Amino acid sequence: MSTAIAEPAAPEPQSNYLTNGYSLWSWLTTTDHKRIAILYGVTITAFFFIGGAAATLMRLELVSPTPILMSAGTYNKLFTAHGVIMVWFFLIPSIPATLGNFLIPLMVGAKDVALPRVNLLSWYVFALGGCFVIVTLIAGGIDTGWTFYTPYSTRFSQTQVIYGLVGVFVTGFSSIMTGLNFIVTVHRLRAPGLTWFRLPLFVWAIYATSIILVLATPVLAMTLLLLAMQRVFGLGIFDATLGGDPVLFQHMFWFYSHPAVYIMVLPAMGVASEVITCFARKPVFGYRTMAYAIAAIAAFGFMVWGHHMFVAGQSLYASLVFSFLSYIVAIPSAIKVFNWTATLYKGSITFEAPMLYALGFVGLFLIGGLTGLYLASLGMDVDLSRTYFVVAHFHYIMVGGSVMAYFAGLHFWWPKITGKLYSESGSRLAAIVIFVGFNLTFFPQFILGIEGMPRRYFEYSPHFQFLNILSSAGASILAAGYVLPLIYLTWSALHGARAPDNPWGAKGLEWQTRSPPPVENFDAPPSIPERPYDYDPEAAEEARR
Amino acid sequence: MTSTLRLIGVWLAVIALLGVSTGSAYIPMGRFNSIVCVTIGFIQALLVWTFFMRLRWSGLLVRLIAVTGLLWIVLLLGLSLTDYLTRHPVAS
Amino acid sequence: MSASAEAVGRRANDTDSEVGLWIFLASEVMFFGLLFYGYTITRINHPQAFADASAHTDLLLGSVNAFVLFTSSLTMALAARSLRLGAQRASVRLLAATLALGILFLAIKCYEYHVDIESHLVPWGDFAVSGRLAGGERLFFFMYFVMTGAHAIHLTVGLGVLSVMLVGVARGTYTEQNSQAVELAALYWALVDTVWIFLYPILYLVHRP
Repeated sequence: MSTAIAEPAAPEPQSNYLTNGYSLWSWLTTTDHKRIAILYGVTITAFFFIGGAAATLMRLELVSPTPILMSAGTYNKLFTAHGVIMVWFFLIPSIPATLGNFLIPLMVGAKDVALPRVNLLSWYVFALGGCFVIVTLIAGGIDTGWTFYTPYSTRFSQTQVIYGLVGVFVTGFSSIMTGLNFIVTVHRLRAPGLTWFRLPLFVWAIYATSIILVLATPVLAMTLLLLAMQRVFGLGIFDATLGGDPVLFQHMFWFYSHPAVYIMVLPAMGVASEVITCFARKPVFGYRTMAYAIAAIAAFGFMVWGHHMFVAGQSLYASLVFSFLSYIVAIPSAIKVFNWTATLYKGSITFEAPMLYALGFVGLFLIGGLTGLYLASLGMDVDLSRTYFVVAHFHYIMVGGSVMAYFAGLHFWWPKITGKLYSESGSRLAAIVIFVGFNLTFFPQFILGIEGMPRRYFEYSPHFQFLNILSSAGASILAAGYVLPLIYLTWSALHGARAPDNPWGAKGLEWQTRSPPPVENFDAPPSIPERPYDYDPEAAEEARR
Repeated sequence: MTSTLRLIGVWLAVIALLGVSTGSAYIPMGRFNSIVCVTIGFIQALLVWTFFMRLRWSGLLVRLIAVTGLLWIVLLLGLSLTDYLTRHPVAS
Repeated sequence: MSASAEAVGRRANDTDSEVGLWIFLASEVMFFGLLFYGYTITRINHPQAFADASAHTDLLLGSVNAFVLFTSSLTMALAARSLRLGAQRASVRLLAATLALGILFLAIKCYEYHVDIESHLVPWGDFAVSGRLAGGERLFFFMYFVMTGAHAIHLTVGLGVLSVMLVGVARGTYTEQNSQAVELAALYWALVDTVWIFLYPILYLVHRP
């Protein structure tokens, strides 16, 4: 190094998307995808903690086999609020609408999404749907469970079912707009030379997710409309007293809601692929296979909905078909887990916070996926359905999978989004606390399920108490784990050290621009790499010595 | 102009098919009545989508999007039929 | 056909907005498709009741409406085409014709609803049919009102869009070079038309003794 250079010139304060207007109005009228991502981020964080509070109260109640805190009706309202809020107001928009919104245009080298005003409209529609849910909660909540099964939801429930249905219905349109935007963006706005097989897997994953959003969400909207009409008018095609079919509602509902699981999980897989390659310093193993697996999961995800209805009165022949198809969808999922593992093999691995979260994702998703096979099996499901085994299974997928990956992504791209660094020790601690707390919360529930404790019950037989106390203890650790990032990330956003443009030495196009990016995303056109994930583990190993 | 005439020709075909469809309903064919008139509906829709919605002049991407919705409805109905066509009737 | 008209005819319609609109139309297909699905499953469970109930619908009004709407689809396609070729005044006239046909459709539909109500075919009221098949017939008319209602709502939205287009073309906001909005409106209008193409046989033609 030459000593002639006295000292680097003080970095000039460059304008970026965050300095482009500070007023609330500038945020509420923005069409910048990066700001819309932050609007979504703030909104879903609020909903995450509301939904989390409901779960905390439930776990507190379940410490004792007899009622201690609340009535059975309140308990039903709590698990419904927890489900509705976490599914539609946190998990479904989580990675696509925040990280996806921020990153998709950057990753494809575009200035913005294809339809920026539609993008802003989607947030307003989402917020409107959210208002309905808040009103529902204030007006007394719903006790049907997040699945709104008829006839209970149409004929018997005395709670604010209509408000809730309207909230979810309205929110659906924001999903459709987001999905539509991403599909057009990925097709039309890729930088010259950025072919499909040079795209990061995150883009593939969000693209596949968007297709599900566009095709499945209208089905949910119409189904909920039919349900609402039946509740309001007192008759409808789900009405068994007229010869209608309540199971038809379940077909319609799960035709959306099973693919919705992949809306939550596919983006998580995308995040994991980005983070694991970066911190293993290796190109992803089997890039094309990974891309095809994403497409296969999205397609097969539409063909397995009937496995939610094995004990609902569905024909046995249908159950056989759906059971078989459910095993099929495990194949591409397994391919992904094998390929992440193979990516790690002989990598130059470091354990920064995003990597800890991503590794947590792989492990927990694996457990969630394997227990899913138990439930896909027709005979086992008859026994395990409606028990805590199901609760544990889907929490391993949705919390262990999607939420862990959301945190992995949030930590990975935080320096890019905010231009600030966060506490490395604090974030690693939080990752470990969340992992431990999560397993302590939900692993006992597998055992409870196998022992036969039914889900959604408010009181239980005393011999289940020990495992329930373990689970509740885990939940309190988990809650602490979730509060930690809220603290240190907020602190980082306000007082954190300035982040370099590419703190991890990562390879995507988004790392070629400044942190935080300028309004137009790139000061100069990004250079398109020959292949994605062009990492070199041996060079990384050399550099570390 | 020819392309105007073509659009009018398509319209005439759609209206003629409407007449055939309505007329077929009065010929007793049992369950084939519905098969005939829904098939005619698909032909009409194909004409409308090809010419009025200009799919004939569209790129591959737009054509793919256009058929996807229909395919997915077929998927929904098809897999549901594994249930509805194999249920045991309940004695009434 | 002149070479320039041919060139205009062959322009691949795949700009960003058109791709976006087609994706929206795909989601609309799913939206209505779910209703067709619900109808089909319910009909599988109640074949006879659906046949009997369908005979209560007003075939004449339904057929006239089909004619009106299919014709409006033609005038709409011609309106978009005229604008593309720079024939602004023809485009305005054709848009006005489309608007008028759309309003005529809604008027006939309203009259038909009136007849249905007078004939006690509203399933949640005092229903005309009693006996063993009454439940299934009520379900048929539930679907009838939901499906035609959803269609009418889409048509009304379409009328609003058409009005904006009409004013825009008349004022010269949308021109030969800037015809995209009208083209997109034409696509949406044709989709609404397509829905009726399928509603007509499954609601009016199930069984005609």
